[in-house]
Amino acid sequence: MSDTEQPRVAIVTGGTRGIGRSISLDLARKGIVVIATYKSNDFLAESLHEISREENLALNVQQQDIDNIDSTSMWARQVIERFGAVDILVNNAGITLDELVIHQVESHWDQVLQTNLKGHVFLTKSCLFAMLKNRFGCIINISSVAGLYGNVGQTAYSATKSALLALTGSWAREYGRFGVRCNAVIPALVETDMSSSLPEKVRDAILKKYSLEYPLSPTSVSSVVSFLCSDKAVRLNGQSIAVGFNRQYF
Amino acid sequence: MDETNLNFRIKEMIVRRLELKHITPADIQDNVNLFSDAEIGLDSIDALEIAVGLEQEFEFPFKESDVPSLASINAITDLLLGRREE
Repeated sequence: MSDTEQPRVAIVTGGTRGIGRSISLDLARKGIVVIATYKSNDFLAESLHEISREENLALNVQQQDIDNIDSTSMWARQVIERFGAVDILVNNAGITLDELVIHQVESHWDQVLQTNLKGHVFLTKSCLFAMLKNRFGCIINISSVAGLYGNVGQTAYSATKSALLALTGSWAREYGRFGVRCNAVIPALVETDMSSSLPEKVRDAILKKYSLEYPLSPTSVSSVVSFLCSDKAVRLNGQSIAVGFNRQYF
Repeated sequence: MDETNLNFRIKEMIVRRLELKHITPADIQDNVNLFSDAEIGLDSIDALEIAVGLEQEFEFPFKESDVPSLASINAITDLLLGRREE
């Protein structure tokens, strides 16, 4: 993964389930020190911790709610002090509270934006100066096909995923000169707890639209994230990579 | 460290880190605003580079609240000397 002798350090938000879990494991199996955060599901956190023990991975599972801006800022400082750096930040944690916009509940809108967007912006802010000093950083924003084209019932979710694409470009421009890269990954439908709660009709419609026989596996996404974090991707900055669908067809 | 020497070291660091090819340290006046001056004209991203330079070359633990103190060489020197006296 890296040509340096010191292992890289990565934070993966929402790193104990779904796509994030796959990313945490992929990076840790490549020798990266991973701090996988979770909000409340102790069972999944413990099961990931168990895998880490069995495989002797440097994978730390920590409960940290990124919705809480102040506590997350303090937590990020502690991570940097303890591990010496944060080299990789995967902004993956996300929620959805689906409803048609005609029924949009204000608190649902606020909640989705807090987690999917604001939490990640301020966590990134907390990690950046350490990256600038080290002249190295890799920020990956996990977006969604809904962020490109929208999705019925997902006004808030698709807005936040679209925003992540826009700020990927901003951050790439701001920090590229310091050796800090920022890219986004745009998955189509991935088999996770979140997608399995979609009504079957909606899932089938999405699969048909993107010519998928079945949802993507989380490893389809994590393999792209791993590549973007590697030295092989050192010339990729400000890019957004579609996984599981061809952007040109839509 | 005497202030004149410190001022020069800061100017040299800025010219080098920001690769200001058309400016030498001697060209930078101590009290000119580094950001609004037409000749120097630094921006907010340059300010980050200066902040990193202050941490790494002057062992100065930079904080976000220090950003306004980067306006001029004199202001930066005051910041460094002021912090050191704390």
